[in-house]
Amino acid sequence: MLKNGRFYWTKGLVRGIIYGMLNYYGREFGIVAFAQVKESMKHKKPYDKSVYRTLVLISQCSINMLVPICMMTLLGLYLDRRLGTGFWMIILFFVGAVAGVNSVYRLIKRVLSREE
Amino acid sequence: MNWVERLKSYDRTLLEMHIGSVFFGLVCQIAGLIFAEDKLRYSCSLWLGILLSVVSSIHLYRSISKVLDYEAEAASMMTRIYFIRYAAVIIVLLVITFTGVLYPLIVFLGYMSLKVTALIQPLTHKLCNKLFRENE
Repeated sequence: MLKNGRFYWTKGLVRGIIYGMLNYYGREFGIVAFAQVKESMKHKKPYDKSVYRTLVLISQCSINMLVPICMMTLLGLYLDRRLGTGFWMIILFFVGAVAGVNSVYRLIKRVLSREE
Repeated sequence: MNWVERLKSYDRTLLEMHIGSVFFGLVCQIAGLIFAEDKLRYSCSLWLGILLSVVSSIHLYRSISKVLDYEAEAASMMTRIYFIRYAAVIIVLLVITFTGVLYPLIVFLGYMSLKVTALIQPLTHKLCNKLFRENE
């Protein structure tokens, strides 16, 4: 009983110290982080926008690749179920992959020619 | 040496290709989280494909630097290396198909990231230049 009581007392003390430290340092950390964000907002780099634009373009390319593959695979699945076959999905997957590569190629070509 | 310096010491084109592969993998992963039925199997298949594409790009890079020393036999050596790489990928795909552990088409989709990253390399090059604060 006494042992358990001592255990709870020790546990409470440790928890109190941890909470206190978190509260103190957490607040300090919050203030520092907020100041840093404010500072970075003041000296905003001019390239930030182009970095985001490039990231969006890269995601667009990935989506351009994915969409034809998904569409053609779904069409293949539908055809396989409808006709009772088992090869349309595989064939149309590869057709989708070729279409995706073609689409990404055209997009990149357009983007690069616009930049030049 | 911090991580930026470590990345800079890495071959730039290879790094850009790997960044593109990982980015493509992330987009496919997000799509898989929404649409895939067996998410774990899908993720494993996709990242195995991405890993295969990364290994292939390293193999391609090493073989190109090796082939440059052989002027006369360069073309035939390159063809041989190309067939070795594709044979390795086909073997992996066949093993996956016959064991049925992963989705072979998703592995192939991950491997297709090699093509996509080759196409989007000008964009990843620009992105790396911005991130490393280099003009060219």
